[in-house]
Order: sequence, then structure tokens, then C-alpha cells
Amino acid sequence: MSKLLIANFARIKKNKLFYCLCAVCAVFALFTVINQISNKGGVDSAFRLFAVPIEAAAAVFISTFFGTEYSDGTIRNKLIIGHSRYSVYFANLITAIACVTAMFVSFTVPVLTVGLPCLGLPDAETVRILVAGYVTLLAFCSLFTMISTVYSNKAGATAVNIVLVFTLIIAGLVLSAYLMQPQYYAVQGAEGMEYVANPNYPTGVKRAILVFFSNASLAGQSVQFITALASPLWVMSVYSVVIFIICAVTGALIFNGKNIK
Amino acid sequence: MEYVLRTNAVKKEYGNYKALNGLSMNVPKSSIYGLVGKNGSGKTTLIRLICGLQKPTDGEIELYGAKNGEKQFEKARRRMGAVVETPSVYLEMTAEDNLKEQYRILGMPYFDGITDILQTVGLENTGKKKAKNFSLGMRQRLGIAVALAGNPDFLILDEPINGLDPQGIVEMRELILKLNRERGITVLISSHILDELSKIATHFGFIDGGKIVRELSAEDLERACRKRIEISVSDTKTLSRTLDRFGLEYSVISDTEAEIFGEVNVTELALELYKNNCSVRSICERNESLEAFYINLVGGKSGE
Repeated sequence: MSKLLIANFARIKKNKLFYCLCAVCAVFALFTVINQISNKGGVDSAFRLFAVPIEAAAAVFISTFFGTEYSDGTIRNKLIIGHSRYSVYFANLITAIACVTAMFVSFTVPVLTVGLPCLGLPDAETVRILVAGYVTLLAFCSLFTMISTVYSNKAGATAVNIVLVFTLIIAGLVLSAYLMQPQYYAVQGAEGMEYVANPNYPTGVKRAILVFFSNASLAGQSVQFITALASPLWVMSVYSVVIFIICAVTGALIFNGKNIK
Repeated sequence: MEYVLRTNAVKKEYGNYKALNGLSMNVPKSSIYGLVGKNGSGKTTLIRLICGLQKPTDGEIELYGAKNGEKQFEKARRRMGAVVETPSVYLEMTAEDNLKEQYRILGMPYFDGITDILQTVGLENTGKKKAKNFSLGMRQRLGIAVALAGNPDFLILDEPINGLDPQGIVEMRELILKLNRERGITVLISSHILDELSKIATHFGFIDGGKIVRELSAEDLERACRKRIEISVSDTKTLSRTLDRFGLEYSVISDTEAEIFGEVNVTELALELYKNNCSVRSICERNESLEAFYINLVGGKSGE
């Protein structure tokens, strides 16, 4: 597998899209820091925005990078000379993780170098969110690698990954808004302000299910990092690890039995 | 005879469709084996199975003595290179970078030999030109160059002359012959262009309906397609003696049938046989072309 990794990294070294997406992450981070400075905000808000742009960049990069193997037919060169399907799959997954880590670093370095001197130190919760967020990104990596390696159409895989990430984020936003609505709201009564129970506020089993989906869906986690946390961070990380493993195992098994043209 | 590749009753099914239906073939070492068949006959499917891109539904593939499913089989594949359908090259890379990438995939620590390979396929002067800007012939040759990385001794080429112009076809033919003669590489070429294959192949396998219907050497094929007279007589022993006297090349098929090659004076022959109490029952001139031989073999029906 080391040979495949060396070959993949040599390709990345010359990949313009990879450098562009890292630059986009860095520019986005700078923009959020400048925005916080001008609005007299804190460095925490700048840090917490990291997940969504990196997820979008990862969706584009992973599907394009691995899709090229199918569109140019070069995946055959790896299999013909005797590399196992599992080696090819897991080399791709490790490569994807390395690239997303580079994008994560591209985002955090500008926040650290510009944000910290101007906005001060982040709180401990933000640091924990960064760690949990990185685990979420790894799960996204596994999901995108599975789709890109199993679906042999480069344009199709790219479209699926991008649509998937934005659909999940929108679903996460809707879910988060639903969960964050107030349990009671104030109305003007005969004897002044009265608090009335919100009939749309989810309670009991319904709330538990919604919280589960918000935590278990990767985009739901990303939205919670920006808005507010519905559950402890470690719970979300456990879900991320489970999704990572499921996608990796499923992807490797499907790829192993796949007929390649 | 030593074989590089042998297959035994290989089957490949896609749902209810049988792409390969018990295919058995033998590729001798140092040969140029032409796999001939019409579109849809199973040529590319067979090559995909040999290359490990797909798995057979049933049957055995033996490469350098290692059978599919055995651990040694994957190792044996390191001794082969292949171009399946389209050349497998990174279009955004130069010819040299494509070869370097394949060297890395093979785990070769140095890039020695890349210049030699590029010279062999005639791409040594492409410089920084990316593969996407190459002509089809150049891409085909780059695909072969990538397949040659790692110094394989078995090369599989799937329809290598498809889409090439006459000049490209000549260059490809010369390249294949050079690889076979100078490097001793065994070559398996699939094609439906029989005439072109007949110029280079030393062995032929005719595939139809997912099966090899006939396997023969180039000499056997030439013999089968030679201009000849098929003669049916009462006694081939008398015929043999007569033909020996006439100094003609012939082949006895049965007690009453024989084939005579070359120009024959039929009147003289018939009179001589008559004198020796041997009657001629029928006589027929055959001059079968390669295409006619192939059509007779596969029945001429469409496989698509």
C-alpha cells in the first residue's frame, strides 16, 4: 500500500485544484477573522465556521481526484500489476484524509496567526469543537471516498458528493432551527406578559429522535458547531467514528466486488 | 510447449447474459497470440478477467503456472502489462510524468529506463506536452509505454490499432514486432481486423459466442488458407505415388480424400490416375481468404 500512497501523494503534489481549494479555505478563514475584528467579535466564532467550507472543498477535491482514475482509466494500471482492491481503496482513503487535514490546517493557520493576536485566545469549548470537528471531517472523508471509488463516473460522483453535502447541511440547519425554538414564548395577556407553551416545540420521544438525527448526521454536527450544541461533543464524535467505519468497510467491500471496465 | 497463459472453461455472466461461456485458450511463451473475434464475442471481457479488473463466474485462469485465487497469481501479474480498450494514462501529465507515476505504483525506487521506454515507443521528443494534447496513436503508444514500465514479459493489447490512421497502424505493428523479437515479450493482441493480425501473429485464437472455436498456429492458418485442390479418389495411396512423381506438395486427409497445393495440370493428373486404376470422384479448387476462413469458422452470424 505504501507504493500506492507514494504515487497518490506525488499526484497531489502537482494538483492545482488541491492548492486552489486550500487557498479558498485560507481566504475564507481570513475573511471570517476580519469580519469578527470589524464586528468586535471573538476568535471563537471565526474558528467555529471551519467545518462547512472544508466539507464543500473536500467533496469537490475527493470526487475529482479519484474520479480521474476512472475517467483516464488509470485505476486499471494499479490492478493489472497485482495491487489488491483493498490496498487501492485504503490508500485512497488515507490520501483523502491527508488532503482534508491539509485543508483543515489551511483554515486554522490564518485564524491562529491573524485572529489570535487581534481577538485573543479561544475558550476551551472552541478547542474541543475543533477536535470534534476534525473527527466529523474524517467521517465526511470516508463517505466521499466511498462514493467516489464505488461510483465510477467522475462527473456523477462529483455531483453526488456536492449535492449530498449541501443537502445534508440544509437538513442540519432545518433540524437545528427546529430543535432550538423556544419551549415557551411571551404573549401580551390581560394581566401583562404571559408565557405560553410553544405547540411546535418537540418533546419526549420526538425530541429524542430529532436530537439523534442532528447528532448522527455529519452536517447536523457541523451546524451545531456554529449554532449551539444539542449534546456533548464526545457523543457526536462517537457517531462520526461509527459513520467513518461503516463507510470505509462498505466502500472497500463494494469496491472489492466491483467489475471495472 | 511452455505457456504464459492458460484458461480452462472460463465463464463470465452479467445477470442472465453469458459474456464468456467456457472459454479455454493457451498462449505459448514468446508468441504473438492474436485473439480474433467480432464485436461482442467476448475478447475484452476475457482480457478484463486476465487483468484482474473483473472476476470470472467460473473456470480457471493460469498465469505463469499460478492459478486465479492463489496468492502467487497476484504476484504473477507483476510480470505483465496491459492496455485494455483505451490507453490508461493521466491526460493532465506529460509522457515522462505518466511513466514516473507508474514506476511509483510499481514501487521502483529509481526512474532508470524511462528514456529507453520512451525511445522504444517513439515518444522521446514529446517534452512537456501533456497527454491530453497527444494524437490517438501517440496515446496508444504512451499506454504501451506505461504497460512496459516494470519490464514485463507478457503484454496484453486490446484492439491496439482501433482508430489509428494507416501510418499509425504500421508504427504499431513495427512496435509490437520489435517488443516481441528484441525483448522476447509474449504479446496477446485482440482484434477484429484479421488481415492486420495475420501480419504479425504467430498463433491465433478465434473467439465466438464467448468460446474459443479454433486455436491454431500461423503456419496452420496459412496452410488452411492456401490455394489448393481438394480431390476425392478411389485410393489415396495411388494418388500419393502419382503426386510424388509429379513433384507436388499435398496432404492426405483420408483414404479417399487429399489436398494438393500449387499449380496442377488436372488433365495430366486424371489420365495418370486412370492408367493406375484409380478413379477421380470429384475435384474442387479452393482459394480461401483469411476472412472466408474466419466467416466459415464462426458461421457468419452477428453476435451483437
